[in-house]
Amino acid sequence: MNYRSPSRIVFEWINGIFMVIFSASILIPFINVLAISLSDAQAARRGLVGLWPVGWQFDAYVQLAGNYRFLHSFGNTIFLTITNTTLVILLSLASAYALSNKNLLGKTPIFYYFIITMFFNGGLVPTYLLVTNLGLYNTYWALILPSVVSIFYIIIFKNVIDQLPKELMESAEIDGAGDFRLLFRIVLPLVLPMTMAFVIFSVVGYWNEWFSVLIYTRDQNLWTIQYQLRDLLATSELSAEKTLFLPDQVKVDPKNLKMAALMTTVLPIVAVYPFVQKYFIHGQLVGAVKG
Amino acid sequence: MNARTRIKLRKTLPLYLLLSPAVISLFLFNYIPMYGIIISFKDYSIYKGVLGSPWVGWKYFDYFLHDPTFWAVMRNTLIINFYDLVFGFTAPVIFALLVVEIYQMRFKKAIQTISYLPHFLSWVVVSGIAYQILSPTDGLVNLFLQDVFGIEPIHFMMKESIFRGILVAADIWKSVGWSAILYFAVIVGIDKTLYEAAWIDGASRVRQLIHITLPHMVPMIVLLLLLRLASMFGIGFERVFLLQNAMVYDVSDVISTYIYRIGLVKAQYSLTTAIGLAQSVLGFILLVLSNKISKKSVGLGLY
Amino acid sequence: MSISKRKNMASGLIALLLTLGLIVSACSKNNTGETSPSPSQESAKPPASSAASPSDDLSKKVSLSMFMYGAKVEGMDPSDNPIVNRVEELTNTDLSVEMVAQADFETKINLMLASGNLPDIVNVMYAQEQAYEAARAGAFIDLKSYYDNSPTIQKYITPEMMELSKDPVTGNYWRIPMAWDKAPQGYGIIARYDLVQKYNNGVWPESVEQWVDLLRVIKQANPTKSVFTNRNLGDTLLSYAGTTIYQMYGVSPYTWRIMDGKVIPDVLLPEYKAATQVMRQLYAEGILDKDFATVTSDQYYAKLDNDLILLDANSTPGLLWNSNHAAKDLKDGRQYLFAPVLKQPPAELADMKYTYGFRGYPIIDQGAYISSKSKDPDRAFKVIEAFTSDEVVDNIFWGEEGKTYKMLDGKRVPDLEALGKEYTRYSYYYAFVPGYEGAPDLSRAKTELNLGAEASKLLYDSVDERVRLAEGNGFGDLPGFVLPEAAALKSSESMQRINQFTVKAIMGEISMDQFDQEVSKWEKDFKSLMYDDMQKYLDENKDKLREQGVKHVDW
Repeated sequence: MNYRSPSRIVFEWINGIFMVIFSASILIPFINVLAISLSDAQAARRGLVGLWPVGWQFDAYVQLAGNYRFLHSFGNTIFLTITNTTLVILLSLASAYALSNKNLLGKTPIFYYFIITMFFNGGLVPTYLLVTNLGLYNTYWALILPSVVSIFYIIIFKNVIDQLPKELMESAEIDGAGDFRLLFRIVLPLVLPMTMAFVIFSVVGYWNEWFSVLIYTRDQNLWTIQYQLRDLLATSELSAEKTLFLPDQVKVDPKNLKMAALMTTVLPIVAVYPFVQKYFIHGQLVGAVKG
Repeated sequence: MNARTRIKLRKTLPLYLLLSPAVISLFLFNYIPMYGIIISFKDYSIYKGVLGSPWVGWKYFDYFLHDPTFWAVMRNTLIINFYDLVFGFTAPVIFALLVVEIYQMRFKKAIQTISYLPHFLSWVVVSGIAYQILSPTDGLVNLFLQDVFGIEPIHFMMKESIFRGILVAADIWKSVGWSAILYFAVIVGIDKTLYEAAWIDGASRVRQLIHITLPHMVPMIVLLLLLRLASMFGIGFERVFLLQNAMVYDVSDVISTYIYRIGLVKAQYSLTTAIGLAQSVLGFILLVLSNKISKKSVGLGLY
Repeated sequence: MSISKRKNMASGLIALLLTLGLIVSACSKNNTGETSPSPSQESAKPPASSAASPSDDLSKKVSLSMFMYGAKVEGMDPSDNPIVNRVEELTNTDLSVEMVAQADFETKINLMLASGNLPDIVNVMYAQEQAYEAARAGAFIDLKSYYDNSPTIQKYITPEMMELSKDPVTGNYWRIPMAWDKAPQGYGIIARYDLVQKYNNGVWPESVEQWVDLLRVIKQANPTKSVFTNRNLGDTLLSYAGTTIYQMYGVSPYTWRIMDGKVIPDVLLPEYKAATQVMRQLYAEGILDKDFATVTSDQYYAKLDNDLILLDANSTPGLLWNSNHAAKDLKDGRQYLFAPVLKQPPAELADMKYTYGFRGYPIIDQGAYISSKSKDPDRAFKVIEAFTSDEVVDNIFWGEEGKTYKMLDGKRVPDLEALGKEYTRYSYYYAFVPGYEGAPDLSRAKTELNLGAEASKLLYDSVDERVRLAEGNGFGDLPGFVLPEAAALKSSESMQRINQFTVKAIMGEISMDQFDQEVSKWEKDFKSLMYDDMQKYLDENKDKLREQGVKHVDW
């Protein structure tokens, strides 16, 4: 191990302790959530669950997933997530590349065209009416097309591309590479970490999307997981409380379901992140530990 | 036109092609429905539609501009946003830099993964946690203070002097890991040979940080800062709504909760749209201004 | 082709396809912008075609669509289940039903109203004003003539109920309202009778001081348990358990009463100050929990279950739910009952009647509407009737004999588990005319099963007593009065102000003198704005209201 100054060692210790405390502050509530989702209804309702389930039961998850519609919704969600993510990343990259190109005529007006949409919005009703009038109501298109542009990604991509060394692009141009070739062979590999970051953001975002399902669909076979969960939670909340129709089946309290549903929102990232984490881990820093 | 322009035009065409999907999509789904903004100048009734509703001009703007409550919540919004900026914006940067300084690979990976978990908790859950921990009867913090220092329980959530801090701290805890992902992406892209060269030249870790890491992060920081500034006139609804209570209203009520309460009084589309329009215009102006300033001073901007 | 060239072509193709796709779908529909229906002048009057009795000819099968409030149950298709199938048989229709749950109902109904794309039958909840507004602009038809010719509907909806549901602006009858008269009425202070038995020998306290003494005793014996709490509901900071002392004084922080013909907000009354002082006392002694002002709903439920909360305030359905929950799940011998009225009321209380509550309205704002664009309104109404027919209603609540209930000595005994699995978790949403509470005998039977006959009788006796007192007071509120927009926009602020000075006084952060000052300030800022119109409405409509059964206009 290379030499480290005493102040450095102190710093590393303090940093480490801080990180441990911070992680604990996160893990403890999370484990609590997991425990509640696996506990029995009474314990959940009475707030008796700590870090370990009280009265193990998997009914909450069974209710979430044992649903005959679940598989279909799951398929929908996967399809929509992949489609939307692919589209939004491609579109953003393409637009950003174009915007960072010095050859673009009318760059500034085009920028304003994009940026204005970040601030000004017609509102829910006009957008809904448009989608309906385009004949997209109750179709998959309504769940894809309106959300295919992300100004945020475009702006950030554009700036990242701006930061790339000009020589690379120029030499490729001289070699006769067209724009598409430049974009994919040269630019993309260089902005891969940022792209992966956006892939994660998109996957999580689209996985959890439910509002568009609410307003743009009528048939159950267009449902996504999150919308289904929301519906299920609404049902259980209603029947568990005010009405006279008493909860004859109290095996699962709304609290169990809520916590179980919460665990499912974490699903995609837990599944995807290990594969992309290498893009976010700065490798061994030279000068600290060799090799 | 001369040859140069012709060349430029020829080169621009494929670029326009690349831009076209986004441009068309925005036109369809953003620009066409934009007529909805007119609602703020009309007495909008859903069934009559935008065209069928009567024109009332500045009526709704007059209402909220003359409402002292509006100015109070706007003040709170700006103050809380300011705190969010100073503390909440810098936190992910510092956090990312700290994580980079961890050498044990496993620990580092674990921290990164754990840190973004709270992003997935809803504010309902997080506010529940906050109330539980800070409870004067059985909250961890008060129990700790009582046992160790013998202090009487403090009603943290109800103290005006502390509450804004709680709002900001809760947001940091929830989002620092997730927001840091972008910074990680930037840091990873830094050329390793730069660090090698610096090490050989005898630069300490701190110097490496200041002279290599930070400068590479500056463009992203400036970018995100500009975008953040653009949203100074609005603020997330859930965080404030769920954490606040009657005793701290004066310091915590913000524009989004104000709009929410208006919306509870049925069919206030025009009023809420008017407020939204005002926010948009202000935000837009702020963005254009700060972008200009940024370009003039550090040469970086959104566009 | 090299890989890079292929990639180029691919991305170019994608860009092209996307563009084309967007263009094609944009052009395929008539892009006429929004369809704003022309508000025809005639829509305000009932359409002439339905003046006579609706056609009874069921020979042709008709397809109808329905949008309703309800929460789905897994495995249940809202368009294809025993209830709906039976209705389809009875009316020779093909019914497609869309059900939306509470949280999102308003969003969706508003969008449907905006787009003019309404299904034939619409069941609306929580959005009555919007529905009426849309109706005035021509979205729905007047149903009065259908009602007049329908004994099925009249069985549940009396002419008075139709009158109550009339549009105050145009006088039209846009909906068949949901009946609520069979819903268990009654609201009041609920006490843990088991604690009264244990710590007071089963003797009911007769005055506020005696209740406070009892609280002291219980708290002393159980210092770590909570005996008096509250439930914070945002603007309504004091609710449920937190309002019990106030109710003993006949007041509540956010309402008003009529006294000597004047509308007076409760916060201005001496009773309110006295009750706040009692709360202040309780807080100082540690009997009222220190966190009472921030107790969330979840914490509140947990406290009810885990601790020894002596007093709560709730309506009868809440009482029944708590009792059943205690008997079935908690099984710790606790017993909830409505507390009897104080034999020695506090001195400040102007009149005992202010503690009795009011008679509940026989309808609620849910209702069934028929769209003006419906191609067969007659048949649509028949569908509504079918959902209200004896056979279907019985099926909705009780299910099938042998499956979900059995007969015992001529009485029906429900099979709780079977009912829980199938019916009552989804079917009662279809009871949009008889009302969700349309089978009181069912809930009584369920309670008896859970509590046992004796405890159940004690419970229902306490309920009946509250109902008797409330009936004596007649209806509350001022039906037909609509709070003007300016006042409605300020009501949240007003409540917040009340919350602030009340909570501060309770916690001892301000003195009672300062409390008085705050009350005066509130009066100056809000009283006229919010209550003058109400006073005017009262003065102008006394006779009409009295006729409708609103007795407190004469208080």
